[in-house]
This record gives sequence, C-alpha cells and structure tokens, in this order.
Amino acid sequence: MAAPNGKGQAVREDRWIPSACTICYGGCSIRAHRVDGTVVKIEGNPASPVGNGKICAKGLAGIMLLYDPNRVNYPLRRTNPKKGMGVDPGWKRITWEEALEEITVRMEKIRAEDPRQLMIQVTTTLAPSSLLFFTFGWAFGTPNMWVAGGGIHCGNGAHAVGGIMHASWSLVPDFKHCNYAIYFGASKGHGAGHASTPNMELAADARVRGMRMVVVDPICNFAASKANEWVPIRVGTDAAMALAMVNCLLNEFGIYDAEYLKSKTNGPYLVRPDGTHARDPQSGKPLVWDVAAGMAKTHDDASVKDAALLGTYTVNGEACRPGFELLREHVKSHSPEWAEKITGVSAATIRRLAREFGDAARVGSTIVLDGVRLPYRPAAAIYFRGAQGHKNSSHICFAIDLLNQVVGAADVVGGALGFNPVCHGHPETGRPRYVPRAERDGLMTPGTWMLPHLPYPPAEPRHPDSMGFIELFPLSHVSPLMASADQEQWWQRFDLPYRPKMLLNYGANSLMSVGNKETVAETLGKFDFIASFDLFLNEFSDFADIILPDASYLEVLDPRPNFPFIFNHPAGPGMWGWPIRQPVAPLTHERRSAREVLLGVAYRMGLGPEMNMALNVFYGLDGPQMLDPKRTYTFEEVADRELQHKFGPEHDLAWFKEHGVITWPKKVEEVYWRPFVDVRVPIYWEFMIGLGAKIRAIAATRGMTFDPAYYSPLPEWLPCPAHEVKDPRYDLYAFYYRDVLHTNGFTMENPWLDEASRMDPYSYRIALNTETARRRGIRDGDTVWIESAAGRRVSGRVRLTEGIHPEGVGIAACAGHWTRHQPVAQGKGVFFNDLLEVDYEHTNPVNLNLDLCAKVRVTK
Amino acid sequence: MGPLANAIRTRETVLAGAAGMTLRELLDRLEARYGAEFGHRVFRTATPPRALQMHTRIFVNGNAVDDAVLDEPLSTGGSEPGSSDVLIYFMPGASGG
Repeated sequence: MAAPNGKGQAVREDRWIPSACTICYGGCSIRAHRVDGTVVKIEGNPASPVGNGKICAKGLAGIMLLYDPNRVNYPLRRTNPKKGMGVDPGWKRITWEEALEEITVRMEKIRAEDPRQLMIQVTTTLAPSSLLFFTFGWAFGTPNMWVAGGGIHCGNGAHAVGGIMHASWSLVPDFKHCNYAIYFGASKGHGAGHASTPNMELAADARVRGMRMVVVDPICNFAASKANEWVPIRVGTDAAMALAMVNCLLNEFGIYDAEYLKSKTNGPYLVRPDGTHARDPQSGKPLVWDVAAGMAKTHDDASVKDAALLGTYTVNGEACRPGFELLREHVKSHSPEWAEKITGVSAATIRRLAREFGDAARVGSTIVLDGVRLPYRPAAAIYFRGAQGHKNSSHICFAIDLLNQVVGAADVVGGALGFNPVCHGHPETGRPRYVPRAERDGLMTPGTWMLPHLPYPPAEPRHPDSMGFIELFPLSHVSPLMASADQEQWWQRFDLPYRPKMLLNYGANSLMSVGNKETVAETLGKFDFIASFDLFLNEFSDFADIILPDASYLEVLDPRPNFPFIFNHPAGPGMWGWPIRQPVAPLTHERRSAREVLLGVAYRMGLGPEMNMALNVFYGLDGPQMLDPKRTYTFEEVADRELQHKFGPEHDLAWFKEHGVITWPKKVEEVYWRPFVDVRVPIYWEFMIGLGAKIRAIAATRGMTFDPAYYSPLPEWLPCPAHEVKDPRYDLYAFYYRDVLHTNGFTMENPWLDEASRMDPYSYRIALNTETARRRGIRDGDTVWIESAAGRRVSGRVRLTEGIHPEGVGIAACAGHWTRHQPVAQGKGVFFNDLLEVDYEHTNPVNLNLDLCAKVRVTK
Repeated sequence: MGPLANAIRTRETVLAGAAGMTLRELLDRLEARYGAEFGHRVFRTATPPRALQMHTRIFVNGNAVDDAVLDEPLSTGGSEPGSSDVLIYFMPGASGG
C-alpha cells in the first residue's frame, strides 16, 4: 500500500536511482531519491568506489541545477542580426523542427564547400562526456574541435607529461602508502577535479595515518591549509625550485635509485656530443654502455649486465655520456641559492625539502603486498593546474616529475601514481584491457588515452590544417589560436585555405573560459552562424543564432562517466568501478539530450555511416557489438552495445540501470604496474631535439619563432612574459585558483553554492597579502582595481590574508558573470580571465598552453 | 571516412587482390594509389618499420585491428560468410584544437 506523503496524498513512487554526478568532471557516483517524479535528495552511492558514498557540496547542490527556473526550456532563434557583448539577441521561441532544419541545411552547405569551416566547441566541465561531441566532428570531417578553456588552462602541460612519464592523464600520491607528498600548485584530494571525492577521502585518511604533506603554492588554501607545511613561492617559478631539489638529490646528497634509472628510464642511453642518442648502425636502437662487458649494446640487449649511468665512453668514434650523467651535470648550475632568487623560497628550505623527500623515498627498500615483493618508495611529487598554468608548462611539469623519477617513486608502492594506467579488465570478459607498451626507442606510450593522439611518440609536425595549428605542435592538446587575438595573422601567414563559418557549441561559455572577453568576442564575431546546446543563457549566448535547450546531467544517459579510467577513476589499490549515468528525473518542457539530438542530426544529414563508425572508434566497439554503418541507432542502443561489449550480454543497459555500477577488485600488478611492464620513461627527452628542429623548419618560413630552449632535452626554468615586465609600477602577480565551491564558471548560478560562497571569505573576493596591502593603504573589504601591464582591468573587494605570497594576487574560479539570464551569478566575484592575453606570445610553443598569470598593479 | 575521405577525395573503393594478401600490402597499394596524404594518415612514419597511426582506426570485417596483424593474411567473409570479400573501414579520430 502506498505511504502518504506530507500532504496526506498517497506516494506512488519512492525510488533511489544510481547515477553519476557531473557538476564537475570528477564524475562521482551518486544516487538520487525520487518521490513521485521529483528528485528530493542527492547523495553519494556507497556501492561505487568512485566516491564510496561520499559527495561534495557541489554534488549535493546539483538538485538546484535540475530545478533552476532560469534554465533554457525551448529552442530559441535570434532575431537581432547585430551581435556583440551586451547586444540583445531578441530571442524568439521556435520549434525543434525549425531549429534542426536550419542547422542541418547550414551544415550540409558547409560540408559541401569545405567541412573544415565547421568548428565544434565543447565544455571542459562535462568531460569526458563532452568528448563524444568530437565524434560528430570526425564524421563531419573537420579538424576544428576544442574544449574551450580546457587544455590551455588545465593541462596541456600536465597531461602530456603525465602521459609520457606515467601513462596517465594526471597523478596523485599513493595515498595508502605514501609517507611524504610534496604538491606543486595542486589540490589533489583537497578540492575539485579528477576523482575529487574519492581522493578527498584517501587524502584525509593518509594525513591521519601520518603522511607528511608539503604544499608549494603562492596561496595557502585547500591543500596547503591541511598540509604540514606551506611553502609560499613566487608565481610561475616552480620549475626553478624543482630543478634545485633534483640538484640537491643528485649532487649534494647522492640520493637516486640507480636500479630504477637503469631498467625503467632512458638514463643509461648514451648521448652524443650533439645531444642525440648514440645508435646501433644496423637497428637504429639507442645504445647503452655495458660496464661488465666494456662495450656498447642496444638498450634492449638481454646480455647487458650493468648499464652505466655515469662516465664517458667512446662509441662510433665519439665521446658519449649516459643521459643520467647529463641530467646530473645539467642541474649542477641550478643551486638552491640560484633558485632562491627566482622563487623567493630560501635556499635552506629548498635544501631541507630535498633532503626530506630523498630520505622519505627509502631508495632500495621493498614491501610485500598480496604475496608479491615490490619496490617501496613512499614519497611523491605532484603537480597540476597551478604549477603548469604558465608559458613554460612542459618544462615545469617535467622538472617536478624528475623528483619522482630519480628516486624511483613512479607507479610503485608509496610513490606518485598515474591514474590507473593499467587495467586487465573485468574477470569475466577481460575488458576493458589496456597496458602501456614500449614504443620508439623502448620508451613508454600509454595503453589508453583521452584523445586520439597519444603523447608519445609525438606525431611528425606538419604544415597546419586546423585553425589551432595542432598539426604543427604535436605535443599539444588544445590551442589558444582557436580564439586568439592574432589568429588571422597566423592563418594568413600559413595560408590556411579556409576560414571558420559555423560554430557548434556544447555547453561552453568561451567568452569567459578562455581569456579576456574582447579578444574572444572578436573571434566569435567571425562566425556566420552559431548554434549552441545550453542549460542557461550566458555571456556566450549573446553571439549565438540558435539556442538548443539541453538536458542536464541528471536527465541524460552516459554509459561511461568514468572511463577511460586514466581520467577520473580513483587511483591506487581498491576496487574498479564502472558506473553509468542515467536520468534520475524526467525531461520537462522541450529539453532534449544533446547526444540524441546530435545523433539525429548526423542521420538527417546522411552522415549515418560516418557517425556510426566514429562511435565505434570512440567506444571501442567491434565484433558483434560494432555499430552497422548502414543502420540507425538511438543513443540507448549505442550505450547498450558499449556495456555489453565491455561486460558481456548479461550486463546490458537494463542491468546497469538497475544496479548502477559494476565492480571488481584491482590486482596488485595493475596498481603497482611499473615492475611488471617492460617499458622505460625518458628522463632525457632526446626526441625534443628532432621535434623542435622539424617544427622550426616549418614555422620559421612563416615568421613564427620560439626560443629553442623550449625544445631542450632537459628541463629549464624559463620566465613567463609576466616575469619580464620591467615597469616597476606593475609589481604583483595575479593568478586564479580553482575554488572548491565551484566548477569554473558553470556553478555560479547555483543558489546553494552562491550562499556558501557568500559565507566564504575568498570565493568572491581578491586575496591580497596583509603587509602588501598595508603598504598601499588598502584595508580589508576595500574595492580595488587590478590592472595588468597590458592595460586590462578588473575590480573587486579584497580579503587580506597572511596566507598568500606577498607578491601574489589570488582570485577564485571563473566568477564575475554579467549576463542578466543568470541572476544568482550576475555581479558576483571577479572575472580573472579578463586579465589574460590570448596570443602566440603568451603560448607555450611545445604544448600550446596559455600563460595564466599577469603582472599587475593594485590600486584603490 | 571522415577527414581521411576528405583528404584523398574518395570515400569508397574496390581493390582486387590475391588470396593471402596482408593488411600491410593492401595499405601499401592504397598509398600508391592515393599518395602520401593517405600514407601519412595511416602510417606513423614514412620509412620502415611503419607502424599504424594510433588515431586512425582500421576495422577488418568488423574487427578493430592493430600493428599485431599488419603482416598477417587478411581474413575473408566481409560481405557474407563464405565470401572471399574483405570489408575494411578506415575512421580517423582527431584531437581537435
């Protein structure tokens, strides 16, 4: 018999529905309590290892997104042909049929002319789900796709280095066994991001267990406030400190893991005087010097008894030295005293931390887990957005990761773990299965990756065909040239034979998520037509021609919210979990799932075969589950095939809808895989020499130049443009940090999170050092102007704190919305990105990361 | 399909080959027909040993294949069981940006 609800009426439905959160890209497992069709509560799903029943404040607040009265509910057509910031589009409600017909006709015309004229833009907030949209681009035939703001802000450097050194998108300390973790500009386990909630639990338990935590960061917030030690560092100088620490380990303390370096890195590969590897003339393989045999042998020669890490050896008539020796010599000039001048961190502190890290690594020790004796290196150096968000992001991440590599603390017990680089699959099917493998020169390539192009070996640089020039810079993921001030100049110089005409957007608000709004607005003005799937009208919407009302993450199906596991599945020992995301509330108004709509558009355009094959690639479908190019499918059918392909016919979509998640135990050789997989990682990036030369040969003919130091095989600290501002009036470094209460700009409209943010001293204010403020006559709560050396300005109220570097100006998240369509968000906080230049000069010429700091002055 | 079809300006083609032809031999023939643009999008390098591009997936008779089968004879039965046809799809992914 139905129970009465609070109004005395019979309750017809009372269900808990398992699903997955997507209020950030962490994708934590949730369950939603639905009563008579209304979701009344969201909490963590205890059946899933992706959170173990825990959920953060943002996840709890997702219910407010579902029922927000300001959501877009109907397709809209702009009536005002004039576009621009603040220009009223004159929205008119239209039918879905009218909207899809116009979009389809325009896309068919573009495809017939030149498919590259279509640009697809997706939000990073919903990744990896949003990457599904790239399949439409593959089917359509355009290379112009980007995650607006993603990549250039979060990980063009960190992800590539994570892939090259750990076969993973990112890394964390092995929270279960690590005794000493040093974080460089990262908040893993203390904030938003990949596997955020599971990591919070793991990090908290690790701190209780006694893991010592040191946080190197300009601001003492989410991670540093819970650490044993906060090391305030000058913005953008992390590489200098890391290199000095490596120097201390190698040259002052003699702490390094020779066995690891010999067998698991290219440290013993011999290097010629020109910096390239000495190679076997027949096979072309790099050579090592076998001390026991007194001769050079190929790196994979099983007869090598003892590969030299140090010394000089004559090979092919040339004096050659192992890469490790060159690293050791290279860092000699990077003393703690040198680093102190750059970083502001005292030489004594750098030296002490290096000693602590080296001692904590316990080089040579082993531990037995599950009956297997394994290397035990309970120390980890972690980097992410803060450290890597600079022009020199590739070398910054490389330098920091060398700390792990020299002591052998990479993907072993207690060390720095990539997020799940190895998976042997479910016991019943062996799927999903992926393992890193040895590629060119015996160096590692990931077993799976988030994007089609793997970070190693880098592709051959080519004359650019895409708007972002990623063909020219193969170590890049995402390019600022998609929305840069100088894009037309570069397109002309490189004779790009087309110009963008149409933009298809999925949830991104690029006007706020990239850089200063004037530059992005100018790039948006170049499109003849913009169609956008959105939950809310936002600043970007002012430039759109058609708005399509999207379904939220609580209203849609996604068969793989946490796969690839290298993105947002918790690392370390425990359980594997493959949850699904499914609708927990019925669709209302005229909202539709963008996935279904896009699939329908593809079929409508006659792109069915291409779209089905692109989906086969994206989901890895083949055999009986391969989508037939000649058929049409609903997205439910695609999801069903994906699940059956991975877990067998008994675990189909219906099974997952009921159970929510399938789990199985991780094996020790999956978690601590490095001793089990015959691959090496490069501590000497020889491949950069040839890569840089090839890129330069193409770029220089068109007037695109870069400092060759960016392509040096060993990392160097290189200054950001902000460090080179000479005008003494601009004496502070502005930076932003990810607020634990928000996901970029996406959550600013959420009333619960807004309420929490108004109680938080920093979410909506500018953090400024107390003494710095006093010298300027600025008091707590004053409204100030932050002005960049390039003349860009933002305003906000200051919060004074001792917890920020005296030269730092810290701004939270991506706030400062000005759209009237988000009344909760409007006018709250500070729009940091408005201070950022978006051009090639501020872009890393290796991975195209955008420089995310600005030299500023603060005035009342 | 996708960008590959655009680049070589052909979406579908039929090749006659002897029984026992390997995938590598087939790709070499296609490269000879469609030029370096095809080779670049399918092979990682222009010179031997030529591994397959990781971002271009190849399906042979409905099964995704990799370097491991490059030098094995192509399996038949592409159009229907027992036929001597081999049905091959090329679908390049792109990272975008």
